[in-house]
Amino acid sequence: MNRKIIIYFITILYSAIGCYEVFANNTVEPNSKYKDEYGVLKQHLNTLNVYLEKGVFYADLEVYKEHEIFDDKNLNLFATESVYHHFFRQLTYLEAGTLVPNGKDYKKIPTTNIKIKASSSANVFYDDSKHSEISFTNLKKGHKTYFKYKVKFQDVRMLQNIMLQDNLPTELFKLTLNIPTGLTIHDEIINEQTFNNVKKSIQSSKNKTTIIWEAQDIPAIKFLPHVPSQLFNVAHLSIRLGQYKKSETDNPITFLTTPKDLSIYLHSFVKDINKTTDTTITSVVNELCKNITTPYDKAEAIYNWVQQNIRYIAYEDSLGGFIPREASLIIKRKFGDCKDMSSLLKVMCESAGIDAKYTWIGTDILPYSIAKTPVPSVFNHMICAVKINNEWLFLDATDNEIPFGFIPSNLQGKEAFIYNDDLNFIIYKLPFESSNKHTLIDTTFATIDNTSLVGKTTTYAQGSIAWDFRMSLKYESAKNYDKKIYNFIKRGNNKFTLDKYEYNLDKLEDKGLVITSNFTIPNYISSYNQNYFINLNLSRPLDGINFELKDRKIPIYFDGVKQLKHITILELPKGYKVKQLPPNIEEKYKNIGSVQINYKQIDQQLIFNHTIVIDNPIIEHKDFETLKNMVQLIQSNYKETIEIYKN
Amino acid sequence: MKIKNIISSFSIILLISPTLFAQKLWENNPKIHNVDAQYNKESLLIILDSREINYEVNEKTKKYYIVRKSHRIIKMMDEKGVESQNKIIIPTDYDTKILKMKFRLIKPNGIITEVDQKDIKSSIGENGYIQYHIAYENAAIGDEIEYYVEEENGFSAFGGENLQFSVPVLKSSISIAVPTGLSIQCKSLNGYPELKTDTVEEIVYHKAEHKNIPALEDEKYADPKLYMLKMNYKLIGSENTGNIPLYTWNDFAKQRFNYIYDITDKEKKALQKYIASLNINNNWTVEEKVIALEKVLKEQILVNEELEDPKYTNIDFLLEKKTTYKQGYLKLWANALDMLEIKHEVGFGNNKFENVLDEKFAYWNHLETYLIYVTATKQYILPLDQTVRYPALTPMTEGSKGIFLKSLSANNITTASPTFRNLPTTPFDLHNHNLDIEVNINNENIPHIKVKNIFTGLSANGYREIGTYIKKEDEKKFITSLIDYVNEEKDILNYQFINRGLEHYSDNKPLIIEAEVLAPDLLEKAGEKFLFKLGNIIGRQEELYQENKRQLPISMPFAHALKREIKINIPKGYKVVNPTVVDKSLVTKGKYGFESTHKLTNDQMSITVYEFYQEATFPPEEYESFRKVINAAADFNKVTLILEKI
Repeated sequence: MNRKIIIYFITILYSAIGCYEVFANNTVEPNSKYKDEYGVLKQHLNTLNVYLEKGVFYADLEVYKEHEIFDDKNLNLFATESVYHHFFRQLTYLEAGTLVPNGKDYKKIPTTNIKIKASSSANVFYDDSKHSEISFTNLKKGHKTYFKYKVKFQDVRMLQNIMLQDNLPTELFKLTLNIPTGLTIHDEIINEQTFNNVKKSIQSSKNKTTIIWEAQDIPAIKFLPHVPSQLFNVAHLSIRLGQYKKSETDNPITFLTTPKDLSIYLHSFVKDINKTTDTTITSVVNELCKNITTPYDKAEAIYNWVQQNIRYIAYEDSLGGFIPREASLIIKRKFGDCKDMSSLLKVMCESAGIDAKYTWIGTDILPYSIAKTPVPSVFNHMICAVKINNEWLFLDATDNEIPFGFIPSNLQGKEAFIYNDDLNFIIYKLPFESSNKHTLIDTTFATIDNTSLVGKTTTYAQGSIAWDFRMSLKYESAKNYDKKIYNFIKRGNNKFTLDKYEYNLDKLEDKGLVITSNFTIPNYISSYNQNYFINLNLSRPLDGINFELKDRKIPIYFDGVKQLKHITILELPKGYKVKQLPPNIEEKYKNIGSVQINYKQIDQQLIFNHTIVIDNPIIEHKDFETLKNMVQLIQSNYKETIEIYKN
Repeated sequence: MKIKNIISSFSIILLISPTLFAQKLWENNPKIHNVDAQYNKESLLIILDSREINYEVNEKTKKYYIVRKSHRIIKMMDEKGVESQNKIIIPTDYDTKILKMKFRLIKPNGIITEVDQKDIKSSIGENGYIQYHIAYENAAIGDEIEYYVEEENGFSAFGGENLQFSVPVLKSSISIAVPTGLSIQCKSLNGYPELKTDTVEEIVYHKAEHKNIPALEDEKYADPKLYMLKMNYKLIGSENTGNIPLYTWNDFAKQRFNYIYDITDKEKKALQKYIASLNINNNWTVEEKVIALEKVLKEQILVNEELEDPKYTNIDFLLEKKTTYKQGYLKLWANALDMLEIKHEVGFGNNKFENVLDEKFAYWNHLETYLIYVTATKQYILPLDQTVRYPALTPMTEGSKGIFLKSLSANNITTASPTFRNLPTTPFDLHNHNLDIEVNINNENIPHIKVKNIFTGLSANGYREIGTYIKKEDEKKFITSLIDYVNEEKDILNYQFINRGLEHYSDNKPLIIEAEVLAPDLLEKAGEKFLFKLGNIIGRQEELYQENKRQLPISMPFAHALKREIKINIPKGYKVVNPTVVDKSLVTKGKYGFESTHKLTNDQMSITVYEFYQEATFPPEEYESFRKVINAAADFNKVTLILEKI
């Protein structure tokens, strides 16, 4: 059947039922406080009905959104809206249109321009998510667009968070939750630091309880830099069902009250997989482990094999988006997504006699804690945990370069849910790694040639700095390697010329790398009357960085811990002396790291060492002043120039 | 779930061009291909790219349709290549029916794995139509993927094939087969061989082959889509219509004219009512009327290409809905001008950065640019450019060619004939981004700078929109991006926009963004001396320092000039010891150049930096001299003045 016909059919059906009285038109005059806005989200009304049908709980969410246009200049802002739906969130009703002023009221002009489109996520090859894209008509200053829809949650444990903020300011937000008497819920406003003025009220009757969250004048989303995702910034409401007891004497039905309930739920995803032994897996594992005796070395061999042989291709297909595929299928296909790789790693490790567990985790883009919010959506990733010598090690084979035993930077500091069975699990917080494992030691040996700087560079990179670069080389055509290497080691200014280079990806342990080069930087030096002016900060990782701390309440997130050491060794021309060296500085910054800036002359060599250490990738609000001081110190040193003169 | 940190293009390379090929080449026992070492640094090598387009007749309905076949063999040479090809998406369009699809992976050891049809997933694509997802099992470097897609499409009189990619092609072939009752004309572009004709059993085959097509490299200042190898074809005759020439430019003009101007009484009445409501005075000049009409049509009527219902092209309906799509909008414009008795000609052009309009080859595809020529003023309206205002053009339209519908009336019948016009090119020195700067160094040794950014002509494109639409709270952020040596908003002491608003596209009053800022980053210290980073004051300049062999002609969006006047008030007690570091002159054949000069007095240094490009395109042979001029501007970024105590 044609999709448009389906939508039309649903619309007619639902209109006939007539269940939207709650969404009466509202004729409040435009508010002068929004005068700099192109419009406002006048009403954002949600009704979540949780109900029992033939002994099974379902939830319907009805949403009504109404935007008012304040300015004709930018009507395109109001031209389209999208409603997302997928296997777990099925669209059952959609109506949209424009409200045109008509005396004291508004005339409703419905639109039938609704297209269903794929709603793919980044790097997911096949995704069954869709969005219905609505195109509005009759747009004009003073008019309003509206859309209302209803989605049915097939599984009440899969309820989604409701955003309190929009791209425009919200005049009225309301969520009405209707639940049968006897059902408890857990609710939480996430990112209250952004908006917290939400009123909650409860009304109970014999058969149902109604809980209302209401807020007015909610500011528009303000996109923040230096956060892993805007979920750390945008205020949103999380609701989950707790327990249901029809009467005092009945046994309760438990949904998601504690992490234990989550474990029981996750159990349903993995209980039926990998029940049989696969001979291919056994023979691969036997081959890999034939000369290995320790569990640690066996796990490493298995991890390396999966990392190198299984390609990442993700199918997000209804339950397939949650249930890991059979390890035997993955080893045959040689491709899968994170949970498929987790499945294969677990089976292979177990085949080698290693204690291995399915492990769910939320990457750095999710701001949730399992204990506080034990729902499936706190996870967006799956890895495999192995216990060796009584210690947990975490295997994430979706990353192509991270060596065995290291934790990807987007998982450090995150809670892993190590699943054993429906009732046994461990919540384990993955540690942040030490900054001394993620280092760059970059040395420039330079001489002066008129106004050019000429010399050699040696760059040692280890940890995430090396792995990121290796990854970028791995997925680049060989014909573009020169460009990649150039961009990695360029310094001074954009006239930096690479005369020749060599790189070695195998010299250092743990996939570190070494690059050496010969270079020239024309026009780098200012000179007059046999005096040279040289700034020895050839690399400036924090140049121009402004963290905009003034009104910020949310921590600053760096992309991992690291140590960056830049050394410049300048060979002074014969007969030349240094006029004055800038002061040496060594500062420690509590809860952040340290800075060391050191100038010294040994015979005719001027040696400059500039080291920045980031020990903590998350800088809390209380440490912003310290961060500011650290950045100021680094950036002010970038302006230090050395004068060299002829004696 | 979690993304893998890889560059996964989902085979964008293959989606550049639609599919197709010849099933006879699908060998039962395919062998892996050995390739020459010259391709070792490529990620992919297209061994075969074979396409067939067959016009066929439905025996029942007697209607023509098109069967397209695509056959490709692609060798995956490295990890990037594997990741781009081990999963592919085959898109379809509204009238596409897939007849056959086959996919297989061939390993160097001879093992062949066919993709099982049940493993092919389908979904709705971004265009709203079905697409197929195919993933190859066990794909690795050195393997080849081979696929064949056969699809049926509705009849089309025009078609085009892009035949060059960002990776090399060893063998490319194209075949278009039409029954002898139809005639087509093919036109190969940019070096793809002309198609040769052969008739076999009442089918006329047009065929060409090309070997060793190089990769189309990504080059700066280039229009790769304009210069890529491609082939366009069109139907030019049919026995059924007595073999008169079909789909000529004359036909185009008549057909479009009728579509646009043949409106119903209901439409006319609705338009009359609408025009009357606009209060456009009959006594106004043509120019005044056009400007008034443009303001309301561009601000009140929304153009939304997602709409599909043809009702949105009925003037009465679209005026009621205040919404339409491109065709309806043009119809509205043309008839509104008619009603206001403004003589005009509707026109159509190509995106000049991708295609060339050919007067001798009436190819109706690619006419996506809509133009209106106002006869009285000899100026143009760009109806689809919602933010641009008459008579301003855009980089895409300036100097481009259009086909215009010139109306002809005889015996009470009005029709149109085609007229080709080249849209004017404004002299380069009217497209300016100029800077007027005054520098003082304050008591705290921080540069205090008054700067005016002055935009005119096409150089103002985009900035006028920012000036019009930016929210007050974002203005300072914008200033820090425009004046890139200002790091923090607190360093902006004051600012103002002069002549903001889209109406200044019409009067071309310069958009001026004026600011007073502190720029601590521009001053470095060396003992008691100061180093003033003069070069940074003109903003970061584009560079072409890396030497690469040039493949394509040089192309800039438009000819333009940049004049920067900088005055530095030298702090009392100091002198500039190296003023001549500023001086540079590099002018090539008078067509493009860079010149920086200075004047010095005791207390002030004045610097003029002038850069110009009199034309927008240059042949590849001029790349070296062009590059020197671009780099001269980038070199200026490194100029540092040394200030020493007297």
